[in-house]
Amino acid sequence: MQKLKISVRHVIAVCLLFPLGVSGQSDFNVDKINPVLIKDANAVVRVDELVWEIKSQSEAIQKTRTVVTILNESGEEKHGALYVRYDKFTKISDISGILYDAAGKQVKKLRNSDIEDYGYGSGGDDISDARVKHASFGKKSYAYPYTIEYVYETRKRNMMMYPWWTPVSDEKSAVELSTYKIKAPAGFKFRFKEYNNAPAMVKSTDADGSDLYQWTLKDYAVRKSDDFYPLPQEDRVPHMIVAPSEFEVQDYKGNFNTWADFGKFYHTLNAGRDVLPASILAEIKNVVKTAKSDREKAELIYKWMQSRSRYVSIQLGIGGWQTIDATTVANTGYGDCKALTNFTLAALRSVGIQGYTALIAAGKDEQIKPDFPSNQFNHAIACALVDKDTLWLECTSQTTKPDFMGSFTGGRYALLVTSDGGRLVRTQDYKSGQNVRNSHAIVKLGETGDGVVDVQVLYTGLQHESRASVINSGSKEEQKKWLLNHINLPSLDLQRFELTQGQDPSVTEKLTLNVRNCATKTGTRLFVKPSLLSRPFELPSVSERSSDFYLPVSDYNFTDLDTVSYEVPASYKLETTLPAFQIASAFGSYELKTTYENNKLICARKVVMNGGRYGSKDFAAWVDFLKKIRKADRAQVVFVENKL
Amino acid sequence: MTHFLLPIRLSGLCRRNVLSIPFLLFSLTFHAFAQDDFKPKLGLIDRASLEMTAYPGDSTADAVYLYDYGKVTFSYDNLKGLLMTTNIWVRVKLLKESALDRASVAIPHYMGSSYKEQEWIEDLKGYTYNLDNNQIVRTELEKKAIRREKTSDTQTTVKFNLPNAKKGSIIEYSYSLVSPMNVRHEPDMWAFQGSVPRKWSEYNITIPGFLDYKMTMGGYLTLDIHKQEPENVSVGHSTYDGPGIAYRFVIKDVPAFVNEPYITTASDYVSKINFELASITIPGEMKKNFSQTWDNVERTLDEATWFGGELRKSGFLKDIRDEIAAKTTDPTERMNLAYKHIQDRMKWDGYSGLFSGSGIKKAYDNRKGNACDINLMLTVLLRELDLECNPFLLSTRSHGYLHQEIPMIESFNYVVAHVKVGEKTYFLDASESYAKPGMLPERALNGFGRLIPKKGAGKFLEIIPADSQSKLEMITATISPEDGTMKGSYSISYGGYEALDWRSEFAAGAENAVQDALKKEVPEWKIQNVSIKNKTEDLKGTVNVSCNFEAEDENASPGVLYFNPIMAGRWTKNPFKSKERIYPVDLGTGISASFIGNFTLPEGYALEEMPKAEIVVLPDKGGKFSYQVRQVGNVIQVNTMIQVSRTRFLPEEYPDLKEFFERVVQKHAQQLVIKKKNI
Repeated sequence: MQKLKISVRHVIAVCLLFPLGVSGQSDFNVDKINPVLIKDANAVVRVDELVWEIKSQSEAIQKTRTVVTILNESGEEKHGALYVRYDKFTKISDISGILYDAAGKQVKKLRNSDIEDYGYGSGGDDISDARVKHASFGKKSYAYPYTIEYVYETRKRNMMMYPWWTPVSDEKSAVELSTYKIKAPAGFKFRFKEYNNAPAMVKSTDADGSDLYQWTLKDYAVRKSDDFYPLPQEDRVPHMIVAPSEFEVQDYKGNFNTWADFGKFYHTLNAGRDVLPASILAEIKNVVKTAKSDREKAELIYKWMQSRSRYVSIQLGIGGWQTIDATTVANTGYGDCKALTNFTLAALRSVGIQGYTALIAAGKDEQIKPDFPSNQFNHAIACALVDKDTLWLECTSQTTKPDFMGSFTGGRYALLVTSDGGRLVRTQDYKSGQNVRNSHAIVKLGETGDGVVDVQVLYTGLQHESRASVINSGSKEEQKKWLLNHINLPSLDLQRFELTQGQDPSVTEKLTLNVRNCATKTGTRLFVKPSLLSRPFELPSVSERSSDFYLPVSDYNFTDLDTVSYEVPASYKLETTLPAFQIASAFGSYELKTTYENNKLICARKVVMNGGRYGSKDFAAWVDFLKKIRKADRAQVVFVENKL
Repeated sequence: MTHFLLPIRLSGLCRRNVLSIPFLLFSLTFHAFAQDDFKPKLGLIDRASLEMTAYPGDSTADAVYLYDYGKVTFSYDNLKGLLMTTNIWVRVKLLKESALDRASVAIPHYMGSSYKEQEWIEDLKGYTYNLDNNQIVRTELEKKAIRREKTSDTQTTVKFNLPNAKKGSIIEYSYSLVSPMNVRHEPDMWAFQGSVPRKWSEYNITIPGFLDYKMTMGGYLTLDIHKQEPENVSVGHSTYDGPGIAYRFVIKDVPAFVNEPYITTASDYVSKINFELASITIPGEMKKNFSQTWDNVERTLDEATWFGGELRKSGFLKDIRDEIAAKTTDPTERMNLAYKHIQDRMKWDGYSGLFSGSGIKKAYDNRKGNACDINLMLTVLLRELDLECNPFLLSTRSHGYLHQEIPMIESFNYVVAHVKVGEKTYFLDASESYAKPGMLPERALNGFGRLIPKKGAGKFLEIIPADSQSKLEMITATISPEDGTMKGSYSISYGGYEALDWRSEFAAGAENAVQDALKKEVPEWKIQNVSIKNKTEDLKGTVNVSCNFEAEDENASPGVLYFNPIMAGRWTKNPFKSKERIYPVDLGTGISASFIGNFTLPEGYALEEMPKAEIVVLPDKGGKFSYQVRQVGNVIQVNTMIQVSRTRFLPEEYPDLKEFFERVVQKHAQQLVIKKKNI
């Protein structure tokens, strides 16, 4: 009797929750899961249904239902809670949830008190009108395995963005069934594209004559993960991106059929917001009065902008896409990336320099898909045209040098927003030869192996970034602490240090160190390391892999030139042969040369690395390359006391 | 050979408690010089501060507080009752670009459902001062630029961005936070010190006679001004008006607080003032005591439903009580069974605290609770099993030191169980799944705690961990000098806190996680037959991981082999990097790390040179390092041990500690020379 009652209640619940007939399984007994899916998994996604019901160019309803069996604590962390973001264009109409035990029996229903509501922006410099609903059963602990079901619905009136589909959202969760359905008025146009073997679309017609597009992924087991050098997620995980053709948001109409259309819409949204007050125009005129070329003018204006503005995150209004006008930025001295870019471009225009807003995916190794026009950006920068060349300006930083893009925006596509639309351009690459560490160390060795080390190092390109940020933000004490943690020596006493920034941009680091165990003394012998102070290389714990691997260009495009010159006490003579190594590979090269003359041991080490994507079959060669480098770096030169 | 680094010190005692003295004693050393006083006007700036480009006290600081002011007063409102108003006023010079985000301010405050439970912000004013063309330009914060955001159901945040803030600007803002006393009944802690230097940090509080606050000072700086004057306080209600005391505290030229490794928590070292409400005496009504003496604290706890009340609930534990009682009558066995039951059943939600969350019965049913829930139910269960068991209150490391001379409930944030069986006593914390009986997790190792017996007065007990971070590594191998290879076995045994850490990381994880971690440690070795013994079977015993290995020595050349015999457990870096130390070192637990190596040489080779043996000791039996290499027949025996038994070291002892590890690193880097015999 008891059993029957439960199942009846269950059916009612399902009916209430899915009046639109979202199909699917309803028996969540853990025994029903194919054991293949449980292997190595923290959780199994039993059902993940996403329905995007397009009502018109200006409105859609999103329905989501996820049922996840949680197998352990990590699975709980990943899937235990539900987060739903909303803002003035997104209305949440319903959130519900049910918790089932291992047998699939309903144990608990989500109550209103289990749902919390938070503001999205946290700090004072993070202003947003978005909010988050957070639902969970977390007040109580449930024995694993158990199953959680969440259902919610939102109504969207911002049609610039359609939900994307990433059926395998977590590497350690298996998927039993994941579907994405798009329902649209007959003949309604939108665009989509599948990536990384995402399943293909099946089209049909719904009972009411609407077009139905459906993607389904079934029985996806957890793949053995290769921890080291994973490909970026967007190159690895099956997913599909969807974007509108024609759309409306608030009072604006647009379409995203091409990058030109995309740019046009952004341009329209922000048109007329670049007017500057007369006093500012006069100030700008004064700023550039000594400049002889456009480039000089642009650099002066950029410097002036940097000295009077600061970045504040502001996500208000239409998806955070409409900029604060230039006059307001002029008056308050702050703005977000698009507002500061708009202000800078307005200032440049006032002295006759043309320039464009460039939309970009900022961050280390971020890339967009150039073949699918849609919003894949998270940042805006300025691209000025001076003397027939581009000059890239990062407007949210007060310290970045003009035209330096670095790991944040370099080496990727950006969308230039021009008056007649937009076009994709590549930003500047940072190749190994540009990211250099060039060091010269002079070591005066004592009889016992103690050393006084004088080093001068020049860092350029990507290699100068971390040091530049230490200079710009740290106090002397913090700089010292940072250096102590980044100098590759067992123990040392930092006598003196100096970090200076050059224009190129570059950083010069000068250090004087007292090193107690600079060379190791054992009995009558002195063991000296040619690779003192050099960058160490880590070896992965596996030497084979089944998938391609990726050496992030922001970390692996570099050249290290290290020279150490030891003054060895006259009481010692050389015992070993001098190490010399030359290693070449597809990933770069390594060279170590040592010479010894007049009690002076000179060691020169050169490493060139090239980041990028490499095939799985090259992995063994990569590990071999690393092993050889590590071995070469462990080489030592042995001296023994002269016995006269 | 033995090196004594320094003669034994006379005062090896830990002096940390001296640093925080009850408030009234503190005032004896103060001197106030009226001419040094600084009372700026809101909205008015001096030119010199604007012209400053670097703070003389700290030339690379990215900002300096020119003025940092707080004032707390009390008033009465007919609708909302007693109100506490905290007036904040700061003036900051921005010296570097990285300080610009200080011009973005967020003030979160409590927002209950009824108007009597809502805090609010009033009199918010903000200014930015710049020097433009040598003219002082002041920009005022516009009212419309102030945003109020509902952060959560019980919190609202007032946010604003001061305009025209740039490198060189001075920003200034002031506001009052008004809190009904039923929302917040004591002022927030006031820190005189922060991440950037402060030229003038001042705190004022005027306390009406009917309120009694316990104030405590902490930190390493002395007050420059400390005034305490009787004042007639009018709060706006005849019942409450009457004599009170106005306090003023100032510290000038406060340096930035720089965090150092091996400290408990920054707040133990920062200069600050803390408050706890002791009592309210409303004329014509009964005096309401909150806590004042340790007796009071204990009574308050005993009477509180969330503590003493919970200790009186036991019905829900009857089944398990009977089950354990039926198994054994031996008290120690009963203790172990009860402890294991709670350990296995309960999942710790990660929260400490002195409050039972939703009650211990509910927590027991939910199989989840905070540390207080878990250990109170353990206490109840053990009492039901006729053991002498009492709650033991303490302050976790991240919560800061416990000051015995200052009775305050807020001193504590953690509860464990204390059991006495015959003459033996045990601390039990069942929130830690893999701690053996008697072992407290590292977070709870923080000096003293207070035992709260069922009857009679409580007492302080020192928490002295019997265990340390202990690790023993052993290698037995054969060396082939021709090709420089080594073949043998490697074993690691984890004890004490190393075992606890190991079990927390690996016990519930995947099978191959241990192997992967091992491979990461020694990536160049070929590892086979990894075996793990005593993963969790006996928590009192060590975890033993062993394997076979094959390794290659890089520095082999025909006829001669250079070889560092500390093949595992080698200390390659000194954990103490800075030359000097301001604050005491607190390691938490002791260290015991050993390595034993036995290397067999083939016929025809001999040890040409070996490192000298060394013994280094820390003063006051604080620690010992030994290193020895011997040759016995064709076997090279290596033995090294690092033992640090003291966990706290004063700043003046820091050089010894640094030198101790310096020697370790130096010895551990030394190499043997093996040569082919000339026949």
